[in-house]
Amino acid sequence: MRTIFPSIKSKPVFKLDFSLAYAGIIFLGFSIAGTELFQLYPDNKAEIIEIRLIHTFYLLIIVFLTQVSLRKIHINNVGYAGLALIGLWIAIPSLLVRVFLMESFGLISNSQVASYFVEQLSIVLLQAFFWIPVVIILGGQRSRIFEAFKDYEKRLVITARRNIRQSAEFNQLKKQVDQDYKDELNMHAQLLLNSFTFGDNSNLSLGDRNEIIQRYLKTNTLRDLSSTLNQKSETVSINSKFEQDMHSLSLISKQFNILYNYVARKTPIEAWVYTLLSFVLIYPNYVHFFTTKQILLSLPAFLVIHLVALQINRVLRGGGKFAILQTNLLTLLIGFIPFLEMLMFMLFLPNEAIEFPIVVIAIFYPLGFFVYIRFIQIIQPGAIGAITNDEIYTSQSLNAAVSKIVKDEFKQSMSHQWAIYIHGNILTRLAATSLKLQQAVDKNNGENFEAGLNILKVILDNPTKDFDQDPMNLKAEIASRLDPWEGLITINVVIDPALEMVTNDRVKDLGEVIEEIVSNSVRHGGSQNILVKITSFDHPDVQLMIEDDAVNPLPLVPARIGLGTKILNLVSDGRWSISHLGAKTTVKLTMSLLDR
Amino acid sequence: MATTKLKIMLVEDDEFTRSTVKSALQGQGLNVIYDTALVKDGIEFAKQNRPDVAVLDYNLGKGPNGIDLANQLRKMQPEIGIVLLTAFLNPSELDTKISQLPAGSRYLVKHSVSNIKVLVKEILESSKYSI
Repeated sequence: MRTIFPSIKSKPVFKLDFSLAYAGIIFLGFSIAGTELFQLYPDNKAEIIEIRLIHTFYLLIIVFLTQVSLRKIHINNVGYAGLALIGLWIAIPSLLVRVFLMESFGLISNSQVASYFVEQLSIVLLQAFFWIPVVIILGGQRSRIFEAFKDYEKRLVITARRNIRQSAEFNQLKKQVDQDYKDELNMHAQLLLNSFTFGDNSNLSLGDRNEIIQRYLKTNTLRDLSSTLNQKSETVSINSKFEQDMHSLSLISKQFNILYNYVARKTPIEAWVYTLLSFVLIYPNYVHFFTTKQILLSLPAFLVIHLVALQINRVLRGGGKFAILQTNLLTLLIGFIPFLEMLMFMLFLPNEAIEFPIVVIAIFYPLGFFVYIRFIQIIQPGAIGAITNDEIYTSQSLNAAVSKIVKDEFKQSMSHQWAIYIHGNILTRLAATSLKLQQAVDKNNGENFEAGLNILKVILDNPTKDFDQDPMNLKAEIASRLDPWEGLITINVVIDPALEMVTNDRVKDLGEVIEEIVSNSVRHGGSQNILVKITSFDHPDVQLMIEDDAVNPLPLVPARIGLGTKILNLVSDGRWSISHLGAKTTVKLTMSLLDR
Repeated sequence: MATTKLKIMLVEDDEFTRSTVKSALQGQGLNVIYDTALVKDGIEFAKQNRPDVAVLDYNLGKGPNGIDLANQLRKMQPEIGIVLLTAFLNPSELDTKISQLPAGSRYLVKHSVSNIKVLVKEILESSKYSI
């Protein structure tokens, strides 16, 4: 795993990406303006605002020109030294402009220019050698970081889906949903059956009996039930890029604490990182407000910070139930050290004390430090490695979110199956029997009429009997789904011989997925030739690959999450993808076939 | 051409329904020259015999549905009349993909097969699909 900040010895090369630098400049502008307005030049607010605006605008321009110029001369990647040079190129002229502005606006006199320049130089060098390279490196790797988190989310969801699908709770839900649909269908069928008693009167003529029965058949509620189930299964969610990103962020935020807790225990950041971060954050204040004596007096604070950081590291490495809580408190303590130091100065060395706004030193700074440390912990290579190796368990809230999705998908899939069943097995037969009754009446054939009536009773007496069918083996299941397409399109099927005789409930799921993809490919893509390949994968998984010659290929990322997408997600735990190569579209799906 | 002389092909996967619909069509004086449960047999028959009208069930079980078959038949034989059998009074309740039905085709609710004569006449009178 490549690290975000590799060692200098490895002579790394970084992609030049200034996108985060613009945001950094604006953030820096606000931050410096805050210090200047409230601490350094409280009586020159208007001038400070003008200077800040001009200087920030200048910096944005110079970064933009630097970016364009480097691209023009084809410098797209540089090492640490190159980054430092770019940092100097941006920071030193920026300091000169700032000095010029300060003098022009009368905030420093001509005689103060040199000393102001020297005073600010070290801060500017810190920007040049630290902050500017950091934002360029993070900018260049932001897609890698973002992709790693997206990938992490996908893995989390896959694991959560698999666990949920195999849980006793989900099996119970499946049985319950199945029973609910059966009860509902039985109720509607019984209602219709009961209504036939009005027409089951031998004192009435065949015509009158038929009229009564036909009336009930035409207005039966089974048709509404089938339509309602079909509508439920067709519920579609929009899947825009923005919504996907928001969804992703929401899942990651649910998982953040677990990710942080795991990574902090496994690969805690070194003590020197806490000390260095404290130093770079505090340093500008030394330059602006502290005398050399005050700086020397305050330096022991860094020793305390380092000792606390060593303790954090030790606690995390030692583990223990309250390790995270302890280290969170200790990290906050490090953030509070400047505040505690200020209090101590005020108590014991009042002449050397410098008072900072309480909101900044006792709230913003400690919280900001805490957030920085958590961010650094998360973007460590150890964190990315743990993500890649699936070492992190899923949080309850993420599990709950995924569980809801899986259950909804299952209910919609069942709705669809029952809608098709009621239409194909019940309504169709009722309609045909209705015809049979009409024919019997037309021919005045009482025997045929009674036979038709009996058929109605048999259909309605046990309407669910054909829904549950014994599972077929894989070969037979695939044949039952694909053979009916013969004559319409050409389908080549390749099944790993070791899998052909597999017989379990998951085989039917795989059959449904294949039917979904093939019918989609023909109906929406206009495919004429399809290859279906099922191969053994990593036990208990198998891989399905369907390749077509669609004229209108499916989009790589579905814009709408319709029933088809949901069935694929449900069966594969989200492990499927679409790719295009020339005129061919390939859908790949991995599913556990052999574990249940 | 009189409707009674038309060659009608019926594709319906459920045997009971197929035999009932077939006899109802015949009861209407229509000439059902072929009936089958299988899409491939329907296509093969249509290739060889060029029926005037195909009466197809919408729900043909696993695999293609009546609309898939109708599209293929229309491709092979642009002038063929198509009647799609459904169990619904309102065909749009069938499926949201209902718009894929080839132009000039008609729906028929199964228990109203007695209307098929009128429907077939309508199809024949349609200028695009007249035979």
